[in-house]
Amino acid sequence: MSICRRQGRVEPGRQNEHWADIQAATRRYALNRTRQPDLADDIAQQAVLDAIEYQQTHIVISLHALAFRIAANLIKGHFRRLKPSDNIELIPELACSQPLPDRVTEDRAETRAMLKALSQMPPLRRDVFLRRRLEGQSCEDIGRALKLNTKAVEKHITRALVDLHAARRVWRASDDLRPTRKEKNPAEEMTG
Amino acid sequence: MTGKPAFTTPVEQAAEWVVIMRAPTVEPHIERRFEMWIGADPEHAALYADMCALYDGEPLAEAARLQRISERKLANSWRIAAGVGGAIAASWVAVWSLSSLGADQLMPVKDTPQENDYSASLNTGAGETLEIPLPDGSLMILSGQSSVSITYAQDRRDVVLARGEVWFEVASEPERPFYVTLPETEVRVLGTAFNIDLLSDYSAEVSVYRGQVQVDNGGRSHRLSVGEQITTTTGGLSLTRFDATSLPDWRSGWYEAEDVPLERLIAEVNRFSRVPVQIDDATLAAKTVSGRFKVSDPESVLSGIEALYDIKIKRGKTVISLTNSQ
Repeated sequence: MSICRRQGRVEPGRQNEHWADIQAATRRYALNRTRQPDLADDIAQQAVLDAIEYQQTHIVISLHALAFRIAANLIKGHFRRLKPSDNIELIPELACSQPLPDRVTEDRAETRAMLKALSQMPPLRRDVFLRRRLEGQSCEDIGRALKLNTKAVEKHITRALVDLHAARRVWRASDDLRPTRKEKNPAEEMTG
Repeated sequence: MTGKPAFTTPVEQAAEWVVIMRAPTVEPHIERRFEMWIGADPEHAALYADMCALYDGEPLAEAARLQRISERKLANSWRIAAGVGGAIAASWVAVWSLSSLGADQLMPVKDTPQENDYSASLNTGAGETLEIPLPDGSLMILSGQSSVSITYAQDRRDVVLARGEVWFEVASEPERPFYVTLPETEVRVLGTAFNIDLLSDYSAEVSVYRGQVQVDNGGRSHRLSVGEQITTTTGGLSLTRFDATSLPDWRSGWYEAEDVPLERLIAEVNRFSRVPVQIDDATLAAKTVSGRFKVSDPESVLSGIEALYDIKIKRGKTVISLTNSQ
């Protein structure tokens, strides 16, 4: 699925406002992931177009969940194509969206902030979180391995995410004070 | 979030929804409740977007990897001091010298017992790919419409491939062999990177990109080296060579067909197509096609073959069917 494949805009319709909300949320997700506003626009628009198309032939309960899933896949595909081992033919099409040095530096700083937050968590919370996020174990599997019920596992992961979210906001706030920064991250505008 | 919400602030609720919505299965009534929550307030949607980006993002994944490595270094510090440069590096050495040296001297750093046991079941939908980093440092990447289950025990690592296609990069642990079980075939992994394409219930294609694997099928067995590809069928095994210097086609979304039956190409397309594609004609299914197809874009493949071969395509809402145009 190519991000640049379709250029059409979301057609106006009955659920226009609803789709606009979904597109805004998806864009915010994509911008958070890629830190590139143009790319985030493309991904959000494509995700909504694909979601519209998909729900015409499938029963969809949560359009938000569908659009986020599609956006995550588009971003995954985008990053994969940027890796040097990948197909050379695809590169010209994406010349516009190489990772900028700024983004790489920001990712490293964010990694350090995340690592710090992880190391400060209670050991059980951290272990449960890493089993889920890094090792891909299901909450049920983690519960069996650590003799916890599934609800308790979910709570540990939720609390870990809240910790990490707080650390990320502290990091972003300090990051925003840098004089070289051109675009203020919209994350602050909406939740700050 | 089945009973009363356990968390009250929007930030906590967003985090809890990420946990719930990332489960392997989400029940319809839960998903409906999620849609109501996220649509109720723009702040909910914004927080959920931030929380998902945090959870999915590479910075957190990298931090998680570093955290685990530092935990392991602490647990195994005496081994590190003895000059073993980490689990993965040690296992690479073991791969190369497996045949000539006693494997015991080259055992990779052992994990603590609770890290040795691991199990998971994973599925992908059409068009999805899923990277699965495993606790021993191995990596699996699932193509679309694929289904695997993974069980790691003290003495062996097992993967059962029920459907689809998977890329494997296996960290070698001579005392804990890695097996992939397919219907009627077992692949024992001696080396590291290989691809398995389960073509149907009775046929699979195993391609080795690094190291060696052993394929056992109905009493016959064959040891495959780099650049060798074996196709197992009920009739037995057939061996061919391929270019192992480039990644398997699906990893780039392309499929290189050289006189392959149309049904084989369509099977690849179906890994990506949201609307299933079927061939309504046995002679058409067996017709051979050649070319380089971008299977990750099913429509481009369909319009390509429509133009090249005498094929009529009926694009329905629930199924796309191909017939001979005569």
